[in-house]
Amino acid sequence: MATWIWQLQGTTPTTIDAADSLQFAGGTFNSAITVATYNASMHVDQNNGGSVDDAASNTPKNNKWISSTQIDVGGGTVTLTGSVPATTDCALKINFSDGASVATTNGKFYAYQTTTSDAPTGITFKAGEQSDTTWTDAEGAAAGVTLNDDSAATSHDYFIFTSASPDSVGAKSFTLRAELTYS
Amino acid sequence: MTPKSKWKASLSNGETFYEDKGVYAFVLGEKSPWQKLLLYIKDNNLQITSLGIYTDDNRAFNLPSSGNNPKFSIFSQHAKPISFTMFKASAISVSGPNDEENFIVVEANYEDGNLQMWVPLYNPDNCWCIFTKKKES
Repeated sequence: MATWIWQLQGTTPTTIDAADSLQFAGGTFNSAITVATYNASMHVDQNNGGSVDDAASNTPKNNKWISSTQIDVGGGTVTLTGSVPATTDCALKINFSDGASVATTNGKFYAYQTTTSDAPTGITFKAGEQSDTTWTDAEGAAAGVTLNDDSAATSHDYFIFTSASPDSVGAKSFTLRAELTYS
Repeated sequence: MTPKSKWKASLSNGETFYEDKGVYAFVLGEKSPWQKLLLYIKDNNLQITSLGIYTDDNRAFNLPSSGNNPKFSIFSQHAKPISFTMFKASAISVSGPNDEENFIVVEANYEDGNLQMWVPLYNPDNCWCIFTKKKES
Protein backbone atom coordinates (compact mmCIF):
# COMPACT_ATOMS: atom_id res chain seq x y z
CA MET A 1 0.00 0.00 0.00
CA ALA A 2 1.28 3.46 -0.91
CA THR A 3 1.96 5.64 2.14
CA TRP A 4 3.02 9.27 2.50
CA ILE A 5 4.71 10.78 5.54
CA TRP A 6 5.50 14.50 5.70
CA GLN A 7 7.85 15.80 8.35
CA LEU A 8 9.18 19.20 9.38
CA GLN A 9 12.79 18.42 10.09
CA GLY A 10 14.63 19.66 13.21
CA THR A 11 16.71 18.17 16.00
CA THR A 12 13.82 15.70 16.00
CA PRO A 13 11.43 15.50 13.05
CA THR A 14 7.80 16.53 13.56
CA THR A 15 5.30 14.53 11.57
CA ILE A 16 2.64 16.65 9.87
CA ASP A 17 -0.49 14.62 10.51
CA ALA A 18 -3.64 14.70 8.42
CA ALA A 19 -5.28 17.44 10.48
CA ASP A 20 -2.12 19.52 10.97
CA SER A 21 -0.81 22.36 8.86
CA LEU A 22 2.68 23.64 8.11
CA GLN A 23 3.00 27.21 9.33
CA PHE A 24 5.40 29.77 7.89
CA ALA A 25 5.93 32.48 10.52
CA GLY A 26 7.98 35.51 11.43
CA GLY A 27 10.20 33.99 14.11
CA THR A 28 7.83 32.50 16.64
CA PHE A 29 4.64 30.42 16.42
CA ASN A 30 1.75 32.46 15.04
CA SER A 31 3.95 35.54 14.49
CA ALA A 32 3.42 37.58 11.35
CA ILE A 33 5.81 37.82 8.42
CA THR A 34 6.32 41.37 7.20
CA VAL A 35 4.86 41.91 3.74
CA ALA A 36 7.37 41.23 0.96
CA THR A 37 9.79 39.47 3.30
CA TYR A 38 10.19 35.74 3.84
CA ASN A 39 9.58 33.42 6.77
CA ALA A 40 11.94 33.44 9.73
CA SER A 41 10.51 30.26 11.26
CA MET A 42 8.42 27.19 10.42
CA HIS A 43 6.06 25.29 12.70
CA VAL A 44 3.52 22.49 12.72
CA ASP A 45 0.13 23.84 13.70
CA GLN A 46 -1.58 20.92 15.44
CA ASN A 47 -5.05 20.35 14.04
CA ASN A 48 -4.67 23.64 12.15
CA GLY A 49 -6.13 25.36 15.18
CA GLY A 50 -3.50 27.97 15.91
CA SER A 51 -3.02 27.02 19.54
CA VAL A 52 -0.40 24.26 19.65
CA ASP A 53 2.94 24.14 17.88
CA ASP A 54 3.64 20.44 17.52
CA ALA A 55 7.26 21.20 16.60
CA ALA A 56 7.95 23.48 19.57
CA SER A 57 10.33 21.12 21.35
CA ASN A 58 12.00 19.85 18.17
CA THR A 59 13.90 22.99 17.10
CA PRO A 60 12.39 22.93 13.63
CA LYS A 61 14.39 23.93 10.59
CA ASN A 62 13.62 27.11 8.67
CA ASN A 63 14.42 27.75 5.03
CA LYS A 64 14.41 31.40 3.95
CA TRP A 65 14.56 32.63 0.38
CA ILE A 66 17.34 35.19 -0.08
CA SER A 67 17.67 35.32 -3.86
CA SER A 68 17.07 33.01 -6.80
CA THR A 69 20.32 31.20 -5.99
CA GLN A 70 20.72 31.82 -2.26
CA ILE A 71 19.15 30.47 0.92
CA ASP A 72 19.41 30.97 4.68
CA VAL A 73 19.01 27.72 6.62
CA GLY A 74 19.82 29.34 9.95
CA GLY A 75 23.47 30.29 9.65
CA GLY A 76 23.27 33.22 7.25
CA THR A 77 23.17 33.49 3.48
CA VAL A 78 24.67 30.64 1.47
CA THR A 79 24.61 29.80 -2.22
CA LEU A 80 22.55 26.87 -3.43
CA THR A 81 24.76 24.04 -4.68
CA GLY A 82 24.45 20.30 -5.16
CA SER A 83 25.16 19.85 -1.45
CA VAL A 84 23.79 23.09 0.02
CA PRO A 85 21.43 22.84 1.69
CA ALA A 86 22.25 19.41 3.03
CA THR A 87 19.34 16.98 3.29
CA THR A 88 19.29 17.62 7.04
CA ASP A 89 18.91 21.37 6.46
CA CYS A 90 15.89 21.06 4.19
CA ALA A 91 12.80 21.91 6.21
CA LEU A 92 10.56 19.32 4.61
CA LYS A 93 11.18 15.60 4.34
CA ILE A 94 8.50 13.83 2.32
CA ASN A 95 8.60 10.05 2.36
CA PHE A 96 6.71 7.84 -0.08
CA SER A 97 6.69 4.12 0.58
CA ASP A 98 5.07 1.00 -0.82
CA GLY A 99 5.12 -2.59 0.35
CA ALA A 100 6.75 -3.57 -2.94
CA SER A 101 9.97 -2.21 -4.36
CA VAL A 102 8.88 0.44 -6.87
CA ALA A 103 10.60 3.04 -9.03
CA THR A 104 9.21 6.58 -8.86
CA THR A 105 8.91 9.09 -11.71
CA ASN A 106 7.17 12.36 -12.57
CA GLY A 107 7.39 13.66 -9.02
CA LYS A 108 6.17 17.17 -8.37
CA PHE A 109 5.82 19.50 -5.35
CA TYR A 110 3.88 22.77 -5.29
CA ALA A 111 1.46 25.03 -3.46
CA TYR A 112 -2.05 25.85 -4.63
CA GLN A 113 -5.13 27.69 -3.53
CA THR A 114 -8.47 26.09 -4.44
CA THR A 115 -7.71 23.79 -7.32
CA THR A 116 -4.31 22.35 -8.15
CA SER A 117 -3.98 24.64 -11.15
CA ASP A 118 -4.41 27.78 -9.02
CA ALA A 119 -1.42 29.66 -7.64
CA PRO A 120 -1.78 30.37 -3.91
CA THR A 121 -3.50 33.67 -3.26
CA GLY A 122 -1.73 36.55 -1.63
CA ILE A 123 1.64 34.93 -1.18
CA THR A 124 4.79 34.25 -3.12
CA PHE A 125 5.82 30.63 -2.68
CA LYS A 126 9.22 29.24 -3.56
CA ALA A 127 10.66 25.77 -3.22
CA GLY A 128 13.31 23.39 -4.47
CA GLU A 129 14.50 19.84 -4.03
CA GLN A 130 17.82 19.25 -2.30
CA SER A 131 20.61 19.58 -4.92
CA ASP A 132 18.66 22.18 -6.94
CA THR A 133 20.80 25.27 -7.55
CA THR A 134 17.90 27.68 -8.04
CA TRP A 135 14.56 28.22 -6.35
CA THR A 136 11.36 27.44 -8.23
CA ASP A 137 8.23 29.60 -8.07
CA ALA A 138 6.24 26.49 -7.21
CA GLU A 139 2.77 28.02 -7.49
CA GLY A 140 0.18 25.75 -9.05
CA ALA A 141 0.65 22.33 -10.64
CA ALA A 142 2.12 23.59 -13.90
CA ALA A 143 4.92 25.39 -12.05
CA GLY A 144 5.78 22.75 -9.47
CA VAL A 145 9.25 21.65 -8.43
CA THR A 146 10.16 18.59 -10.48
CA LEU A 147 11.31 15.86 -8.12
CA ASN A 148 14.11 13.54 -9.16
CA ASP A 149 13.17 10.09 -10.40
CA ASP A 150 14.15 7.35 -7.98
CA SER A 151 15.15 3.76 -8.67
CA ALA A 152 13.28 0.75 -7.26
CA ALA A 153 12.99 0.71 -3.48
CA THR A 154 10.29 0.28 -0.86
CA SER A 155 10.93 3.77 0.56
CA HIS A 156 11.70 7.07 -1.12
CA ASP A 157 12.72 10.31 0.63
CA TYR A 158 12.38 13.74 -0.94
CA PHE A 159 14.07 16.66 0.82
CA ILE A 160 12.44 19.99 0.03
CA PHE A 161 13.53 23.53 0.87
CA THR A 162 10.64 25.95 0.87
CA SER A 163 9.88 29.57 1.74
CA ALA A 164 6.86 31.87 1.61
CA SER A 165 6.30 35.64 1.59
CA PRO A 166 2.98 37.49 2.03
CA ASP A 167 2.08 39.88 -0.78
CA SER A 168 -0.28 41.80 1.51
CA VAL A 169 -1.30 42.13 5.14
CA GLY A 170 -3.47 39.43 6.70
CA ALA A 171 -3.41 35.72 7.44
CA LYS A 172 -2.89 33.52 4.39
CA SER A 173 -3.71 29.87 3.92
CA PHE A 174 -2.88 27.60 1.05
CA THR A 175 -2.31 23.91 0.38
CA LEU A 176 0.88 22.01 -0.33
CA ARG A 177 0.86 18.99 -2.62
CA ALA A 178 3.21 16.22 -3.66
CA GLU A 179 2.47 13.80 -6.45
CA LEU A 180 4.33 11.13 -8.38
CA THR A 181 3.91 8.03 -10.47
CA TYR A 182 5.41 4.66 -9.60
CA SER A 183 5.52 1.09 -10.87
CA MET B 1 -5.90 -0.69 2.47
CA THR B 2 -5.41 -3.36 -0.15
CA PRO B 3 -5.60 -2.18 -3.76
CA LYS B 4 -8.86 -3.20 -5.44
CA SER B 5 -7.86 -2.22 -8.96
CA LYS B 6 -5.06 -4.27 -10.45
CA TRP B 7 -3.51 -4.78 -13.88
CA LYS B 8 -3.97 -7.76 -16.16
CA ALA B 9 -1.72 -8.29 -19.15
CA SER B 10 -1.73 -10.67 -22.09
CA LEU B 11 1.53 -11.43 -23.85
CA SER B 12 2.54 -12.32 -27.38
CA ASN B 13 3.05 -15.96 -26.41
CA GLY B 14 -0.58 -16.29 -25.36
CA GLU B 15 -0.03 -16.09 -21.62
CA THR B 16 -2.18 -13.83 -19.44
CA PHE B 17 -1.07 -12.65 -16.05
CA TYR B 18 -2.83 -10.85 -13.24
CA GLU B 19 -1.33 -8.54 -10.65
CA ASP B 20 -1.43 -10.11 -7.20
CA LYS B 21 -2.01 -13.62 -8.54
CA GLY B 22 0.40 -16.53 -8.91
CA VAL B 23 3.95 -15.50 -9.72
CA TYR B 24 2.85 -11.85 -9.72
CA ALA B 25 1.46 -11.83 -6.20
CA PHE B 26 2.44 -8.94 -3.92
CA VAL B 27 5.42 -9.91 -1.78
CA LEU B 28 6.56 -7.38 0.81
CA GLY B 29 9.97 -5.99 0.03
CA GLU B 30 10.31 -7.64 -3.38
CA LYS B 31 10.16 -5.98 -6.78
CA SER B 32 6.64 -4.90 -7.66
CA PRO B 33 4.59 -7.36 -9.75
CA TRP B 34 4.91 -5.00 -12.72
CA GLN B 35 8.69 -4.88 -12.40
CA LYS B 36 8.72 -8.69 -12.34
CA LEU B 37 6.52 -8.83 -15.44
CA LEU B 38 8.78 -6.44 -17.34
CA LEU B 39 11.74 -8.64 -16.47
CA TYR B 40 9.89 -11.75 -17.69
CA ILE B 41 8.97 -9.98 -20.92
CA LYS B 42 12.55 -8.87 -21.50
CA ASP B 43 14.08 -12.26 -20.66
CA ASN B 44 11.71 -14.05 -23.02
CA ASN B 45 11.64 -11.48 -25.84
CA LEU B 46 7.89 -11.01 -25.55
CA GLN B 47 5.47 -8.12 -25.96
CA ILE B 48 2.30 -7.08 -24.24
CA THR B 49 -0.61 -7.52 -26.63
CA SER B 50 -3.39 -6.36 -24.35
CA LEU B 51 -3.55 -4.54 -21.04
CA GLY B 52 -6.37 -3.72 -18.71
CA ILE B 53 -7.48 -3.40 -15.13
CA TYR B 54 -9.42 -5.99 -13.17
CA THR B 55 -11.04 -6.16 -9.76
CA ASP B 56 -11.72 -9.12 -7.48
CA ASP B 57 -15.46 -8.61 -7.97
CA ASN B 58 -14.96 -9.31 -11.70
CA ARG B 59 -15.04 -5.82 -13.10
CA ALA B 60 -12.77 -5.26 -16.10
CA PHE B 61 -11.52 -2.11 -17.78
CA ASN B 62 -9.85 -2.86 -21.09
CA LEU B 63 -7.67 -0.88 -23.44
CA PRO B 64 -7.87 -1.63 -27.16
CA SER B 65 -5.64 -4.61 -27.81
CA SER B 66 -3.10 -5.20 -30.54
CA GLY B 67 -4.55 -8.65 -31.21
CA ASN B 68 -6.04 -9.82 -34.50
CA ASN B 69 -9.48 -11.04 -33.43
CA PRO B 70 -11.49 -8.11 -32.10
CA LYS B 71 -15.14 -8.75 -31.34
CA PHE B 72 -16.34 -5.62 -33.09
CA SER B 73 -15.22 -4.57 -36.55
CA ILE B 74 -14.53 -1.02 -35.49
CA PHE B 75 -11.53 -2.24 -33.54
CA SER B 76 -9.99 -3.72 -36.69
CA GLN B 77 -10.71 -0.60 -38.75
CA HIS B 78 -8.51 1.70 -36.71
CA ALA B 79 -4.91 1.83 -35.60
CA LYS B 80 -3.82 -0.74 -33.03
CA PRO B 81 -1.61 0.11 -30.08
CA ILE B 82 2.11 -0.18 -30.72
CA SER B 83 2.93 -0.89 -27.09
CA PHE B 84 1.50 -0.71 -23.59
CA THR B 85 2.58 0.46 -20.18
CA MET B 86 1.24 0.71 -16.64
CA PHE B 87 1.96 3.00 -13.76
CA LYS B 88 0.30 4.05 -10.52
CA ALA B 89 -0.20 7.67 -9.54
CA SER B 90 -0.30 8.93 -5.98
CA ALA B 91 -0.76 12.45 -4.65
CA ILE B 92 -1.37 14.00 -1.26
CA SER B 93 -2.27 17.51 -0.14
CA VAL B 94 -1.44 18.90 3.29
CA SER B 95 -2.09 22.14 5.12
CA GLY B 96 -5.50 22.24 3.54
CA PRO B 97 -7.96 19.61 2.37
CA ASN B 98 -6.06 16.46 3.27
CA ASP B 99 -6.73 14.72 0.02
CA GLU B 100 -4.87 11.59 -0.90
CA GLU B 101 -5.51 10.20 -4.35
CA ASN B 102 -4.29 6.91 -5.75
CA PHE B 103 -4.86 5.61 -9.25
CA ILE B 104 -3.72 2.78 -11.43
CA VAL B 105 -3.17 3.87 -15.03
CA VAL B 106 -2.90 1.63 -18.07
CA GLU B 107 -1.67 3.20 -21.28
CA ALA B 108 -1.87 2.18 -24.92
CA ASN B 109 0.79 3.83 -27.05
CA TYR B 110 0.05 4.86 -30.64
CA GLU B 111 2.15 6.59 -33.26
CA ASP B 112 0.52 9.94 -32.60
CA GLY B 113 -0.17 9.71 -28.88
CA ASN B 114 -1.14 7.68 -25.86
CA LEU B 115 -4.52 6.58 -24.55
CA GLN B 116 -4.59 6.41 -20.78
CA MET B 117 -7.23 4.88 -18.57
CA TRP B 118 -7.27 6.00 -14.94
CA VAL B 119 -9.06 3.93 -12.29
CA PRO B 120 -8.94 4.67 -8.55
CA LEU B 121 -6.75 2.14 -6.79
CA TYR B 122 -9.04 1.60 -3.81
CA ASN B 123 -12.47 2.48 -5.21
CA PRO B 124 -12.90 1.16 -8.76
CA ASP B 125 -16.36 2.62 -9.30
CA ASN B 126 -15.15 5.16 -11.85
CA CYS B 127 -12.81 5.36 -14.79
CA TRP B 128 -11.38 8.32 -16.69
CA CYS B 129 -9.75 8.28 -20.10
CA ILE B 130 -7.41 10.80 -21.66
CA PHE B 131 -5.59 10.87 -24.96
CA THR B 132 -2.27 12.69 -24.91
CA LYS B 133 -0.90 13.65 -28.29
CA LYS B 134 2.81 13.31 -28.90
CA LYS B 135 4.59 16.60 -29.33
CA GLU B 136 5.72 17.23 -32.85
CA SER B 137 9.49 17.36 -33.12
